[in-house]
Order: sequence, then C-alpha cells, then structure tokens
Amino acid sequence: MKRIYYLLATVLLVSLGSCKKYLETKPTDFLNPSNYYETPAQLEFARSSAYNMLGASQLWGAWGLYLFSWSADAGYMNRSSLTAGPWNYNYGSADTYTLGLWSNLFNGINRANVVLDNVDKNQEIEQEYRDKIRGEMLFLRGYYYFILVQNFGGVPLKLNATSSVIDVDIPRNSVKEVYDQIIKDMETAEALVPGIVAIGNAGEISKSAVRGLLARVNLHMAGAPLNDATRYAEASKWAKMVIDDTEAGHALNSSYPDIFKTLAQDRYDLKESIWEVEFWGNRQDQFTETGYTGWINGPAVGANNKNTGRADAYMNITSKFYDAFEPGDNRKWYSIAHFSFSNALLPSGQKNMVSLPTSQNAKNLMKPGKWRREYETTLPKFDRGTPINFPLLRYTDVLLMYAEAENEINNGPTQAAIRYVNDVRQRGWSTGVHTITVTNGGSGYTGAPTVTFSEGIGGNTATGKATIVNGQVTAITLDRDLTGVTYYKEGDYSAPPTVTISGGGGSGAAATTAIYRKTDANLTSAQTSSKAAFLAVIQDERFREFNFEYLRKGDLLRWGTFLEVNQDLGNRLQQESPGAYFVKYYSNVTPRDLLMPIPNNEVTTNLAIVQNPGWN
Amino acid sequence: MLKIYKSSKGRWQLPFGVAMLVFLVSFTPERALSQTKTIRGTVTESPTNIPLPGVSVRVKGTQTGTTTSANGNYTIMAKPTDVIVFTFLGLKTQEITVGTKTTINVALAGDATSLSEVVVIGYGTVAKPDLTGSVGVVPVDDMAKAPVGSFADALAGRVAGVKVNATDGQPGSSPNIVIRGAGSLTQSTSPLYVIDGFPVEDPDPEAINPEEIESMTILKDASSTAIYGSRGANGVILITTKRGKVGKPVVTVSSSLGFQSAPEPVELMSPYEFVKYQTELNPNVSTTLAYFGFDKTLGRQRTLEDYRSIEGVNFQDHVLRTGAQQIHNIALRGGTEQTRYSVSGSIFDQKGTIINTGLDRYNGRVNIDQTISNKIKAGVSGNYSGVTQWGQIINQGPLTTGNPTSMVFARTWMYRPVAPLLTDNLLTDLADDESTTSSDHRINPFIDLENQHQYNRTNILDGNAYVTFDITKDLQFKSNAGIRHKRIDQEYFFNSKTSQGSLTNPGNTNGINGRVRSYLDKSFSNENTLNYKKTINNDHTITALGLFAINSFNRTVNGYGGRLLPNENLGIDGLDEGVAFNPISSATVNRMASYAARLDYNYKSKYILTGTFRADGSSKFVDHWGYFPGAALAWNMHKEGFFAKAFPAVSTSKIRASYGSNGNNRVGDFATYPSLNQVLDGYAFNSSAPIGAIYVSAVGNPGLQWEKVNTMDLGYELGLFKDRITLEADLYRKSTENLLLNAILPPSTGFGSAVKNIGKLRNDGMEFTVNSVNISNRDFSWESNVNISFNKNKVMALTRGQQSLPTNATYVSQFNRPLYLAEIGKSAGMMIGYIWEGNYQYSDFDETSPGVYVLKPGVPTNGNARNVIQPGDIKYRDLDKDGTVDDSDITFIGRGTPIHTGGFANNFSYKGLSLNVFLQWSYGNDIYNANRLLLEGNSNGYALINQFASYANRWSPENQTNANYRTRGQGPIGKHSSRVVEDGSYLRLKTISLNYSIPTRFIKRAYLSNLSLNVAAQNLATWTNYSGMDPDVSARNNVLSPGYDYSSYPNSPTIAFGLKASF
Repeated sequence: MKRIYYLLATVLLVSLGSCKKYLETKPTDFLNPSNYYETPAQLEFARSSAYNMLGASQLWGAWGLYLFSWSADAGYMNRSSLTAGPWNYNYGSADTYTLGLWSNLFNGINRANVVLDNVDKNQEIEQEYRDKIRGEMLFLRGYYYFILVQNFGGVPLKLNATSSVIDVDIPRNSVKEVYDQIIKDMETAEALVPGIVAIGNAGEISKSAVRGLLARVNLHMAGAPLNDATRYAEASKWAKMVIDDTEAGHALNSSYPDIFKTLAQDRYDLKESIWEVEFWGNRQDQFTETGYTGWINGPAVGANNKNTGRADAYMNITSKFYDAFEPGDNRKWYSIAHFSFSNALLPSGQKNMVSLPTSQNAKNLMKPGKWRREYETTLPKFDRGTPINFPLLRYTDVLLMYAEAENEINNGPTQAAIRYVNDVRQRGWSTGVHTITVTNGGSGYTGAPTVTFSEGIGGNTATGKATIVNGQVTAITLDRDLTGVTYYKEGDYSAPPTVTISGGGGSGAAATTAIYRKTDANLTSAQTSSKAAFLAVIQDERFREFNFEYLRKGDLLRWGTFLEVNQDLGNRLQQESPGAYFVKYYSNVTPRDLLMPIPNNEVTTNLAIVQNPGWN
Repeated sequence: MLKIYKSSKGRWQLPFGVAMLVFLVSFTPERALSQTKTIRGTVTESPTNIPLPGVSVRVKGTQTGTTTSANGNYTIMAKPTDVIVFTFLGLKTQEITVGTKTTINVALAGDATSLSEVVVIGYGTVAKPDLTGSVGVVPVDDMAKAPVGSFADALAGRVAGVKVNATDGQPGSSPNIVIRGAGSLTQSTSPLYVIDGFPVEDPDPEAINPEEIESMTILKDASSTAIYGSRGANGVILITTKRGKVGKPVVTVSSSLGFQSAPEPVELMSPYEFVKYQTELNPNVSTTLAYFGFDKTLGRQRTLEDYRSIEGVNFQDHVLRTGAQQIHNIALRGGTEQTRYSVSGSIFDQKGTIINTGLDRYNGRVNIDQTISNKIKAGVSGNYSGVTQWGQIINQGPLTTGNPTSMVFARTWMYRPVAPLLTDNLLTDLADDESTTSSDHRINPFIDLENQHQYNRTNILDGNAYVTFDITKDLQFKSNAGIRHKRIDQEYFFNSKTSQGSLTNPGNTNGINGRVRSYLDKSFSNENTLNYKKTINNDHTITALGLFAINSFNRTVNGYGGRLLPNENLGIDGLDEGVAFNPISSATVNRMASYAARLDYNYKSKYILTGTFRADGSSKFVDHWGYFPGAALAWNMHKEGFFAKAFPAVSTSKIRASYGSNGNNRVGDFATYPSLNQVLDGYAFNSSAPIGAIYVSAVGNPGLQWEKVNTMDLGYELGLFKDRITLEADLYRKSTENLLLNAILPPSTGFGSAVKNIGKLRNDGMEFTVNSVNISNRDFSWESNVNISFNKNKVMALTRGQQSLPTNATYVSQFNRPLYLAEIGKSAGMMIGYIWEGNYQYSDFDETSPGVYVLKPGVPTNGNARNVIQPGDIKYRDLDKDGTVDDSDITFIGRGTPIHTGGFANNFSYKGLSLNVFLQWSYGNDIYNANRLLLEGNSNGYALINQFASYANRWSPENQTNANYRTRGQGPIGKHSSRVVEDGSYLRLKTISLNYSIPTRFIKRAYLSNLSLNVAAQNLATWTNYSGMDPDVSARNNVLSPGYDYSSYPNSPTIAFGLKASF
C-alpha cells in the first residue's frame, strides 16, 4: 500500500514541476510587438498603419469632410432631420463624431509612436530607409497633433507608445507646448524625408509637404490663440523654401478644374498638389480603400446613374460663398453646380443645365461642384464611395501663405506677395467672351441666323444663338457650357473674337464682342495699399480658392474672426431664408465653439484632463 | 419512463426505509456471537414489493459477496457481528448488522427527489440532509415531459435561483441561463457545465439529448461551487447521463410527433387604412398619387373608398407556418455485476414556425462500466451529437446597415399590402421597387426567406474514460480523462433573390456572395481525485477529497468568403469563382492546472462542516495562480432530542450557512498580451493597390486577474408531517469584485477599451421552494412544487471616474443612442429615455389665425422647434422645466430584469394516468418593444410602409386621442421614450403533459414491460399585458440590454403526441 502513496506523491511532485511550463502558452495567431519590426517589410506594414489613419472614416475618409467644412461659412450639411451634431453647433461632449475624431487622431499618434519606438530595433536595416520612416512618423505625429490643437486646444502630448492600461491619467499640455512639439517633430522630419520628385507621388511625405505644412503650422502659431507674431518669419521661410526648390519645380497648374480632375483619376500633379490622402479602388476586389470625396460633397447623382457615379450630396453652399466671386472668376462655375444629374443611366457626366439662381434663398440650396465623380476613371464606379484623392497641401496654398506672412512681416505686401496672389487669381480667371453687343440688327430674318465666333485658342471657341424680334437680331446669347466647367460656352481668346451672323433669311446683322483678360484678375492698387487691405484680399482669396478643401474653419480661427463670421452669416441667412433650418447652423455658434469639447470617454476615464471652457 | 413512476412513488416511502434500518440496528442483541451462519432473505423494491434480482449482497469489509437471484432471494454466510451491505444502483444502499437474525428481508427504496435523496455535487455525492451548500436538484423526470429538444428550453421556473429566459423562439437559439443574477457586466454569465465529470464552458444545450440525462444538479452558493474555483463564479450545472443497470437488457423506444402552431399574426392595417395613411404621409408624391390613377375595370379614377373592398396581401400568411417536430429515442441498457452498458440514440427534427428555419439533431451515446477486480473499476463513454440549424437568424438583420427593412419580421409587417391599381403582384415581385431608396431596399420577405441558404452544423464528439481504485476500504482513487471535439461548420450563400445577395439592393456591394467558416474546438480534461471516508464511533464521519486536474482548450477557425460570384446557379459550390474576401484563419489556446481539497466533518448528521479550497493555475493570466476557499456549516436541529419533543410535526429543520470565493476567467486567452493586427487595407501609396498595415490592436493588460465573486448564503429547510410538506429558503449576497470589465480607456491612449479588473457588482436575492404531497392514496396522488426567486443587482463601481455604462439600442441608425444604462448605485439593464405624455392637444396651442396653431408660451417643446410643433404631435415630460425636452430630461423608464421569477409544478396520478401541469412566470420586468417604433407611428416617416392596425387610432382633428400621435407627429427622430416600454410580466402554462401507462396485463403478450402513451403541450397559454408576440424575449445582450424586442422569433405553442415502450 505504501508504494501507492509514493507513486501518488511522485505524480503530484512531477505535476507541480511541469505545471509552470504547461501554463505558459504563447499566441500563435497574432503577432506580438516584441517579435516584430525586424525587417524592412515589417517596417513597411507598420508605416502603412500610421498613414492608414489619414484615410480613416473618422478623418479624411468621411467625418473630416463633415466636421471641418459644414462648420464654416462656405457650405452646410443639408440633412434637416439631423437636428443635433457638431455641424450645427448643437452638440455636447458625448457626440460620436467628436469622439471619433479625437480617438482616431490619438490612434494615429500611437501608431506613429509604436513605429518610432521600434524603427531602430534592427540596426542592420539601411539607415537611410529607417530615417525616411522616422521622418514620416514624426511628421504624421505632428500633423495629427496639429489637427488636435486647432480643434481641442492643448492636449496630452504622448511621445511614446502606450504600454499600460493602468497609468492612463495624462494631463493636458499647453497649446504652446503642443505647437512647439509639432514644430520640433516636423523640423526633424524635414531633414529625413526625400524630395517629392524622388518619391514620385503625392501620397508619401516629401520635403515639400513637410515644409509646406511647417509654413501652415507657423501661420497658425502666429494667429489665434497663440498670437506669436515672430512665427510669420518662420512661415515665410518654409513657404519660400518650397517656392525656391528648383529640384521639386513646383508651379501652379494652369487650369483650376484640372487640379480636381487629376485628383479623381489616380494621377498626380506634383507641381501643384504636394500632399494628398490616397483613396483607391472601386470595391470590386478585396480592398476597401474608398473615401467619400465627391459622394458627400459634390452634386447629387442618383443610384441608378452608375456611369456618372452615385453621390448622395450631403452638402449645400451658402449665398455668401455664391456671392464671393467677381465676374470673370471662373472658379465660381467649377465650384458651384449649375446643373443636376438625372437618376437614369445616362453617359457619364451628362447634365441637366440649371439657370442662374433667382433669389438669395435659391443660392443657399445649391450644391458644391468642385468634387465631380464624372471624371473618375476606375470603372465600374463604386456606388457607396469614391477613389478621389483628397488634397492636404497645394502649391497655391504655399503661395498664399507666403504672401500672407510677408504682408505681416513687412507691414504691407511685397511685390512678390502681390505677384503670387495675382498668379493665383489669373489662373482661375476667364479669357472668354463676356459681352456681345449687337451693333446692327439687320433686317428680314425669318429664322434664327447661325452665329459663328472666330476660333479660340486651342479650338476653344465660343458658341451662341441669336434672338430675332420683328426680323431683326436683337441679342446674341452664349450657349451653356454642357460640361459644366464654365457657365457659358465662352471660348478662350487673347483678343475679342469676331462674330459672323449668317443665314436666317435676313442680312445686315452685326455684333462685337468683349472678353475677359487674365490681367483683369490683378489686384487693384487699393487692394494692395495697406497691410489690412491685402490681408482682406488674402482672406477672400483663400475662401474662394480652397472651398470645400476644409481649410476654412482653421483659417477663421487663426484670424480670430470665427465667431463674428458665423454670427454675421446667421443674420444674413435669417434675412434671406427666414426660419430655415440652416440658419441655426451659424447662429448657434457661441464662444465655447472656438474649441470642440473633449469627448466624454476621455474626461471620465482620464482623471487628469480638464474639459474645455463652456463644455461642462 | 418506468423509472419516473418508480421514483415518484418511492419518494415518500424512503423515511420508512430509514426507520426500518434504524429499527433493525437498534435491535441488535448485545450478545456477540462469533460463529458463521447462513443468512437468507429476499430483497424487494420499496414500496412495490417487487423482488429485485441482481442486488449486490456483501459482508462489509470482506471478500464475501453474492447477488440476488431472479426472484430476489439470496444466501450468504456471515457472523453475528458482521454488517451486510445491500447495494443496487439507483436505490439507497442499506447496511444491516446480522446479530441473531438468520433471515434478513430488505426493501430497497429509490434515492431520487426527497430530502433523503443523494445529491450529486462537485466530485462526489452527498445525502441531502448532510448537504451544507445551496444546491438545486433539477426535476429531470418532470422536465423530460416537455416536448422540447433541449433541456434548456424546459428549465425555466424549475429551480429557484436559476433564471432562464429565451433570446427568442428561433429553433436552436440558446436561452440565457443565469444563476443567482449576472455576476459580470461585459463578460460571459453562462454557468460552468460539467457533463459526466467533463467541464465545458460553452456547452450547446441543444446538442444534449434530454432523454439521456439521469440527473442534473445546479450548484448555487460558493461553498458548493468553490470546488470549481476559477470557473465556478456563474454557478455550476452538473449533468450525469444514464448508465446501465444490472439486470436483463431493457430496450426503450419512444417517439413523439408534435406540431407548433403558427404564431398569432399581428393585426395590420387594411389596404384602405394603408392608402389613407399614405395620403396623409405623402399626399403629393407620385407614389401616393399612383393609388388614385385611372382604373380600367371601373372606368374611372380609383378613390380611397375603393380600397375598402380590396383584400391585400398579408405577408404573415406566407412567412409563418405551422411548425412540426419529431423526437425519436432508442436505448438499450442493462448489465451484469461485472459489466453495465447503456447504448442510446436519438433523432430530433424541428421545422420552425417561420418558413425555412429549423433544427435537427442526431445523437448517439455509449456508456460502459466494468468491474475489473474488487478494487478496480473502469468505464468509458462516448457521445456524438450532430446538430444542424438552418435559416435566417430572425432577430438579426441580414445586412449590417441600419435600414428599417433589414429585419425579417419588421419587413414582413411593413411590406405594403396593396400596390397602386393592383398592377404589381406584390407576392411574386422580388422587391418593392417604388420604395427603394439609396438606404432602403425592401425585398419581398417571403421570397427572401425561401431563398436563404444559411447552415450552422455543429458536430460534437466526446470521449471519456475513468478508472477507480479502492486503495483501502476508506480511500478511493479515481482518474477521469476525456476529450471533446466540437466542430462548427457555417455555410452561407446569398443568391440574387435574398436581401444579402440582391443585385438591386443599393446597400449590397458584394453582389451574389457567400462564405464558409469552420470552428474546431478541442478540449482535454484529466481529473484525478482521492476520496477518503471514515466513520469513527458511528458518530463522526470525515469525508475528504483531494484533486489534481489539468484542462486544455484549443480553437482554430478557418474560412473564407466569395463575393461578386458570377454563377449563381452553382450555389455555395461556386464560391471559388468570385472575389475572395473575409478570409479568416486563427487559433487560440488556454490551459489550466488545478489542485483542490475538500473536507467534510459530520457529527451524527446533526452538525456538518465543509471546508473547500481550490487553487487554479490558468495560462490566461501572467500571474497564473488564483486561490478560492469556501466554508459552510449546517445544523439539523430536528435531530436534537429537545426539538423533536417540542415540535413533533416538524420532521426536518435545518439551518445552513456558507461563505466562499469563486472566480470568473472568461476573458480572451491572450488578453494579457499586446497584440498586433495585420489588415489588408493599409494605404494605397502611389495610387496602387493598398499595401497591408500592421498595428497594435490591443495594448494588453499583464496585470489581469480573475474576477472574484464572494457569495454568502443563509439557508433554512423545513419539513412537516414526515416531510410531506417541505420548504427551502435561501438568502444570499453575491459580490463581484475585480470585475472583468471591457473597460473604456481614455482614447488618448490610442485604444478604445481593454479588459481590466475593475468595478464591482452585487446581487442580492432570496429563493423559496415548497414541495408538498397534497393527496396521496392508493390510486390517486397530487404533488406540487412552487418556487420563487428574487434577485436584484446593483452596480457598485465601474472604471474609475465612470459613473455609468450606457448601451445603445439596435434599431435603425438614428436611434443608435443609449437606451440602457448601468449606473453606479442602480441595477444594470435599466432603460432610459423620455417619459411619454401622449400628444399635444389643441388646448396646448394659441390659434393665432384660423388654422395656425402656435404652442402656448408655458408649454414645453418635445425637442423640435416651437414653430413646427402641431396638435397631435408626440409629447414628452419636461422634467427640468426648462421649456424644451432635451438630453437633461432623460430619465429611467423601465427595468429589463424581473423582480421575481418562478414556477409552479403539479403532478397528478391516477392509476396508470398521470398529469403534469407546469406554470412558469416572470414578474416586474419591462420590455422595450422596438417593433412599435416602426409599426405604430412610423418613427422615421418612411414612405409606403404598412402599420399595425392599432395605428388607425391616431390623433386627427376628428379623433383627438392620446393613444398615438398624428401622421408625421413623431417629433424629433431618434428619441427613446416610455411610449414603447411595456410591462413584460407573464404567467405561462409552460408544460402540460398527460401520460397513460397501459396496464401490464395487456402488453405482456407483446413482450413489453411498459407501454405508455402521452400527449404534451408546451407554451399552451400565456397571460400577459405585453402587446408583442411573445414576452419571453431578450434579443440583445442579456445583462446590459435585457428585454429588448425587435423582430424576434416568437415562441409559440407546441403540442406533441408520444409513445414509449420498454421490452
């Protein structure tokens, strides 16, 4: 019997000894940070994860398009049934969109931090490659913090990957500390990342992108709330570095519409478009990398009109935006849709032309036109999203930032500053026919005669039709531009074209034309006479140029005009569209809206954080 | 079935047997004789007095032994000092001292269901009077009378403290079984199952054949569950399957055929009411005007009145059907003293009451027990279960988008009953095209359901073996080892006629699609116990248990999907022709090693003490080991002399108390590790196909530990008139600390949540059970059981700083805001929203000019702008009196958990007839009837959807009711209110069963030993104020969002006719 006790005792002892080993299980299904980041391929995947957050639905994938434009004065969200939300300043710290934005940005920061913590794990990997990735991660971290600081004020600075779920009480840093860190990160990155030509695309971070963003960050530092005027020089310096970079060879795209067509077509225009968020595909494969640019902020296209591509169009423009353009400024016709799409299956881009709005209220009901699905080349078009890349930095912006900074530094515009603004204005300016004067009505016309204009540049010739009253030609009106790029088919001329009127059974009718010229776009001396006047020009110019590119709210905040602009617009809309639901989108703005609320999830679980004023 | 009657008759005779034993023992002569003599006798079964063959008769402590002959007789040689032990499986063992006797006749009584019964507990059995913990014995015989495929469907109301509520009535949907209140908020609250000694954390109740269950006990308090340590916190359900008995082979065959009546259709608006509603909803829209176009047969334009005579389509008539079920069981059981065997098989087949839904199960089990020598016994058992569940899951939308038409029932109700001018045949049209918008695709619910190809096939293979070795007569070693392989194969194929695969559905980006996925779980368990039992001086009994066990669990998941499938006709086999998507391949493992000990001290069954301790080591935690102690004591005061004198009518009076600690380990196997996740979609650099991304998806919490549950239990058992009436009452407090909570992290960490040991939860409750033999005479008997349980939980703490844990509703997306709140100091699962106050009436308005109504200054708004509120709009209570109803007016509007639940069982028997009537109830719980959001007022103002008939009674200038708001009077969209919160209390005639055993004399010639016929009904009647189809519903998470009803599959009455024969 004793033997059995011995046996049992032995079994027990052996089992005790082997227990520890038995209980040490290792995951086989997922990877562990401790055994990763060791090959270039692994670093590549890791780097991709930090970029990934740019296109996440909480940022530029969708919600950024809601949050940063519906909340400014160019347009508003047109779903009247959604009575509460950040877009109409009727929301609180429990808001999902705010939480999504905040979480996503910190998620991106953590991903960048993870890569930064691990990038040098394997020193065998080529230094240059690791530096490039380090630069990209520093820049992205800075960029995510830049969005945070603009919208939430001072936020916790996290410079290492999160490793504990217990020590999570992190206080806010000051706005200045956050900006200083952004500058530090981006300046370090500037030395590490390659030039844009070497990279060959606008999706990856290039020296130009870093420099341009440094100019933007510095301009923000110079404005509200820091108001550190010394930063204008820094802004100017970085912008100038982009302008003077002959290797990169940045230049304005000569055609304003072409910038956005290019973005829709998986092509790059590295001279103009310096940094873009990449979206891709049509979901006909295993990938899901589409975004919502053009779907949510373009003209509406019904689900059946698959050739043009479905667009649910959640956004309207304001009359203020409509009225912001001067005659001759063709950006207006490209930025505001004077057409609609049928729900029937028609050829891509076939439009029903719509006349000019007849009231201020009608302007408030129009759709933005900059983001057009008709130009997409990835077929078939996906009906729940688009592959259109979203621009984060254009060369135009660099020029205007430079002009703005120079104006501040020199207490008035420099010649270069004026020239750059004129360049931008001229690029969008018309060279077509604007007036046709009938000098002789002729006689005997029984039907409308044929009107022919002399040939325009590159075959871009105006077309029009004559109106006959009592056998006389009384007027000649230009045809509509059926592409919707401009309002009229006005042609492209360096000198006024001649008009030939023939047929129609009559004779003797004659007309002369007048055209727009690029030089019409140049600023007047009054506009350049003072620092204040020039700043006003820049402010309006940015409003027109970057509409629906979501820079406006940030601009208004740094200029310190955000509250005033919203209140004014609220009053204006109440006059034009009394009682309309969108009036409140502007009149609801109060001083607390200079910042968004820190989301509840953060406030309740991070005991060291303090809510923004007015949001408790 | 035979067994049922034996035990139920034998139940009240047991005290007699005990008395006889005491009598015999007390007459042992003082003169001790040492000569061996021959003892003869007959062993019979009490109370039938039928001779028992095959009874083991043994002289205690020696090798001498025999078995009784066919007529129950035996002969054995023994000394007067010897004790003879009579053993027969299933009957209570008797020990009789020989003394001067030469004839010893013994009547062995059954050992089930009385206070003297032997109760299966963790790693052993104990006589019920000696029990110190709170243990519920499930009346499996009664439960087996319910015409259902799974014990879980018959468990509700059977045992105090065990709350069972259905998710809904879909065949194969497992009900939630919660023992003494949910101990966890975000982790599983399912009890641990131990099936023939094999612990299973995620059992499939529907994979167990109820006929094979011999006994089922539920361990409730910590003293009884502490022996299961880290897995016992949610309670333990011990299931023992039937094993062979010594005797001739007995073949038992039973069959039953049943019908489940189609759920009572909900009354919907008639075509006339529907068209009338559309003219109010969208008077000038073409789809409405189409109803009034030129009608050729009438020769004029159709008018609203014309729709009065049109019948319309009611899709409920096509989607609902009479269900059918059949159950067939066959078993062969028997054995000799050396070998006992049990072989059984069953087929269960159920066609649901919604078309193309159902379940079938094939099951086979073999149990063999073998005596190898006097000291060594061994046994093996094997079980196979194959369960196939098919059809659309009714309470889940087929698509993830929150459109109103995605739920089957909602779609069935809302589908319009009549098309304009009757040009379309709504019944055969694939979709209601005129109603299709970018976010709403209304596919024909009938065609969609018919074309669903969804299969879940579960195959479970269990193998178990044990060996016992009697080291000494007091010490026994037992080793038990088992494996369990469970494989689930899921197969989904969506052709173009289903909403998921429809090519015209704008929400479907996958075209015709499908997927296959397999889960393979492999569990292993080995448990080794040493049992020691010693009685000293006949007064002190010590029982000790030592345990060493190891367990492991492996899961692998594999599968892939195919989208944009080109060849629809190939079905699931053409999956490889499309674009691959959603591939999955994953694996996980966890292991446990455990030591445990239990010590019982029993003084004359008067004072009983139990101490338990378990140490569990789990691979899930970095610090592997956790320690779980428990202690209990009981005092059988009726055994005190003074007590018996003072209260002669009291046959049992026992008080017991226990305290102990348990754990809950239900977290991911590798929750302590940070993990990296690789995804396909990283970033599309250079406008090329995206490269993948890898990121830290979970930060990991190396400090993770068990959830600790401390339970205090105070129990009292009372028996009157020789236990003819018994009462058992328990009071408990169950406190969960270190709650394993999927806690919110500050988003600034870069993560949304992590499992943390944080928060506290408390459950307080009371349980009462009364058993009584109301009438008992030769021909007629009536026995009753009533039990009632009260449980109340309270959230004591959450993640630091967090005051409440909200849970969103899952109705359409605009309602995706908190409906439930678990707030500190309150119960989990409370419903929140506005208090509904009917409608705004004319008296609330100033009529500024004829027909223009402006809300009076003092009257608060409902959240809409003042200028848009009109008479007949919905009205909510402005709690903070600030003039507008906004977030600050949200309050508690309902409780999802009941105040009490219970059951009332009655067994009547008259000669060969027996009747079982079982009622079950739930009281005090509310149900959020989300169906009414859509179908009684059209929450979002969708065009062309039908409504419940009740919405015909809505506010209009002619009918200034408060019952329903006017057309489009829903106020701000997406607000939850008490309007659709309903009292979910119910009393249900859960089971009624009538059985007739044909007298033996008629069946003998057919070599039958038993033949019985029965008819049984389930859910035959329900008394409730709930307006939905079925109040036994909780379609979402049962702890945080209980009592949610939206498009649920109703339980409906089943009636089954059965036949059972033994030969």
